[in-house]
Amino acid sequence: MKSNNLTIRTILFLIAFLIATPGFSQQPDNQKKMPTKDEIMEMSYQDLLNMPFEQLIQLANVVGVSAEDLLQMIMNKDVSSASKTKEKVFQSPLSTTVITKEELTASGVTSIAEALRLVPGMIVREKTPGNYDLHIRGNDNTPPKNVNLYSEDAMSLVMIDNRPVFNYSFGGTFWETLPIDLNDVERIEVIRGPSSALYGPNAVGGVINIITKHPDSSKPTANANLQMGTQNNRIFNGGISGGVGKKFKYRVSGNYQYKERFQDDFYVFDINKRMSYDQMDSLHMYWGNAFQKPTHADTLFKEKITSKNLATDKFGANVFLYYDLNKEVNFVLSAGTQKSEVVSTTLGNAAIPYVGRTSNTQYVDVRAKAYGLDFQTNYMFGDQEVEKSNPGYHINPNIFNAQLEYDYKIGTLTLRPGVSYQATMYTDKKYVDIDAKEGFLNGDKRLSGIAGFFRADYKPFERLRLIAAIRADKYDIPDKTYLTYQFISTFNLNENNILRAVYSRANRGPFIVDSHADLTAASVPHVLSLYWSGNQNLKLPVMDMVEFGYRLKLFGRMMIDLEAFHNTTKDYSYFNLDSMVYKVQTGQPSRKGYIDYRNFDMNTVQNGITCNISVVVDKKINFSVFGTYQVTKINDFYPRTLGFMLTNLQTGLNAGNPKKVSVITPDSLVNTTNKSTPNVFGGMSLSYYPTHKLSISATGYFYTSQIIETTKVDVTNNTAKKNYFDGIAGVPDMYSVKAKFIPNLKVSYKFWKENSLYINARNFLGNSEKEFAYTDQIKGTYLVGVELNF
Amino acid sequence: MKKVRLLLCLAGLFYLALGYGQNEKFKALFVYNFTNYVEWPGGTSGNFIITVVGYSPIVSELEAISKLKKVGNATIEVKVVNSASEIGSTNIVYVPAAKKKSVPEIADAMAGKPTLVITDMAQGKFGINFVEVNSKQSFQISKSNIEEHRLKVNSSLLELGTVVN
Repeated sequence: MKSNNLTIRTILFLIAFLIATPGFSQQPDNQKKMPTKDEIMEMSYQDLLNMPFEQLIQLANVVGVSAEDLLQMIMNKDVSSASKTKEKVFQSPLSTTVITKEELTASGVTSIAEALRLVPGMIVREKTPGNYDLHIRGNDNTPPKNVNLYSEDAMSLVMIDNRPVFNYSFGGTFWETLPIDLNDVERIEVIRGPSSALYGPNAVGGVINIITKHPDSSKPTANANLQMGTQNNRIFNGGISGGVGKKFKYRVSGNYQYKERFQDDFYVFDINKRMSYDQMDSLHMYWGNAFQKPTHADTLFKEKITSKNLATDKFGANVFLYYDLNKEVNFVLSAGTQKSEVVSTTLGNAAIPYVGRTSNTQYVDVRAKAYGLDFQTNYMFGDQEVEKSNPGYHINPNIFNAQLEYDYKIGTLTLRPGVSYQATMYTDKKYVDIDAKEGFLNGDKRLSGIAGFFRADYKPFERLRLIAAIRADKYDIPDKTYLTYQFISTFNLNENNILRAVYSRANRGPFIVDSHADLTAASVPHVLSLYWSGNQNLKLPVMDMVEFGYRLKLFGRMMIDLEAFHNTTKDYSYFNLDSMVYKVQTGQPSRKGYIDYRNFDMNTVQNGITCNISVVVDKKINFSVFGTYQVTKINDFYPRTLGFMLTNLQTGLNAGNPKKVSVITPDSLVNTTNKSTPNVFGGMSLSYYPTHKLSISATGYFYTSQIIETTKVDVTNNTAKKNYFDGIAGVPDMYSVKAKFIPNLKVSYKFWKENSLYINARNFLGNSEKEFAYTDQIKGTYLVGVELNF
Repeated sequence: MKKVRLLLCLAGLFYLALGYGQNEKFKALFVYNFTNYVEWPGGTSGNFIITVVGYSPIVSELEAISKLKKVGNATIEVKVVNSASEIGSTNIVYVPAAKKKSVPEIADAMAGKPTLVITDMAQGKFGINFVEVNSKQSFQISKSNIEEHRLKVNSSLLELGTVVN
């Protein structure tokens, strides 16, 4: 009966089609009377075989791209970040993964950070709902036994359309401060491995370049994606685009996300248990046997964390203007704003691992391309409280970038010289008493750097490609020039097999806090003050990497991508206790500790392998499985916490022995394994389109267990733990993050044209294990949504 | 043991994946339609043979058509071979894109034979080549190449594709 109905419908469509088609090739309006793609796909073979060939061709045009080409599109996507020219992922000279907008939509990821769970080589842990810790390949929590700041990924460069969105004050990326959201993304390109010769400082672990959408035509379009669910989740994305004439186009977008925590209590280090929101205000400061209640204690905690439930609350709006003069000359201007408040982890040393963080920033970015010249400049400014209500952490960032590159081709040789300039200025002068040294900067603090770079891409013969990139960065602080480079070769055994080899060196850039810290912290009021100082002569961390890769296409539908890497990183800098002075003065604390930033002999050595297997079964099914195995050694590491050193220096400190200096002797250094990066991590995805209306996407992400050590713990000296609040023995020596598998499922149904209703279950088995030390349980989130496209 | 099970599951998944045909429906329909516009010397007595070189999802689509349609009075028979040397007497040879490197030897093997060679790639050696034009399925057609194979092509087919030399 169903078959008969279909046949009748087909005949009716054909009659309509025949009526509409006299001279159809001259009348594009008749397209409106064509059967839709869905209707054509539901036609039987018999119907299609009985059709005149001319009409069949017309129907094929409605269906669109051929299946074989579709396979290529799904599996072998365009990428531009890896070599700064558009090419296929299969040919990419570096370890590269591209996530397209179609994959983002299908997978059901709810944020750009979560989307990176679809990328091989990424470690992605959710600290609190919507707030993620991300690392490319690893080197997490280096050095261990220090503050949480060193658990941030300060060595991976995140960019939006080549504009760095890096946090130059402390290092790393505050993901919630990205003004764009999934709706703005055309694709996300991830390069694993050091790439600062191509992208500049901080592209050490790798690069994440988020490419925004460009309207295809001037036709006005609008889209919205709205989803709501458990934990009071509200995620709204919307945008309109269009143009005037053929040359001018625009796109305006907005996004909003709100997520709540799965629990309303907070872990407190020194009592080793969780306390309610209201109980937190009753905590007393603690030192030795003395208890002191902080001034304004009743409001202090609630100022830091304004709601017991809030995890993520963020908003962003953007406008993009495009002017395409001709094929060779085009301009893009984008500008936007964002406002966010999240409860995430502290950067510094605190009584609890949580802190509120707010940000309100704006940016403008201009890109121009003309006859091989490529110019980009941008400016970001705003107001950020990276640890809310802590006067030392309320700052105004100002970041300026300008870059000019030129593409010059001679036969199979492409040369790309360029120059770039960056200036960053962070200030806390609006929020602190500079004379009283209330801030950690106490005024305007600047960093700048100018760079020249050159890239040559040469094919001596068809199968062999050689790339050399070299870059010199001259910084003002430290007053040094750093040379970074990449030497890459790819060899096509044949069209289905490619061998790759990479040798590269990259360096991290200077940070404001390393260079300019000027903080006075009363750890115990009237008893002990600590003084933090930056260091303007630090050596910058440098990574050297050797990598070999092999890509293989099988059966025209499977791609296997293997990469084996070995890297060493040296010249780490971090802060440690230098000395302590005892002096009794009226109104002054008797003990003063001096903390400074120094380079240490510590180095890390990482060996690993990543494998990604993608299979496109047909138009209806594709899937991928990927995983990384890695081991990282930390050599010449001083395995003591700041707390231990603090206690050690205080012992015997008195009028007769008024100054003691920390001494790190060579025999106190150890070689150890970095336990904070999981040995194995990876994911999988399966997309299934049983009909053109229905799509089902299952994704999964997993990692093995890790151990995170902070300054709160010291396995060699438990007495060092009594730092802050009501000190009760029993703080765990180190935090073990258990292995976790996070399965997700999205089922979407197109109810009309390109408009869909969907259900989206994240971590749907409800595994509640914490994904980061001392923070929140992350349980299942269940959403319903609608996606509208006009 | 768990690892062994996981590997077995993955192996099973790949097996299923590779055995699953892709939707090449329209290309197969085009191939069938070409037979209405091409005339083979001596007509199409016996089975009408379509030979596919190497694995291609179009095989299952052609087989579906063979159960529903004939070419003239001839039953359609779909054969799959691994290399050019295995191609016997056939009316049509279909060369999938994955077999691009076999093009020269297929050209040699088919030279002068009354066979319509259809490929899924843009190149200049054969009668009909499937190509994508502006994300739409189209085909290039070479009248001279078809005639070199002693076949006659109806001029109306030339109007539906892109004529190449």
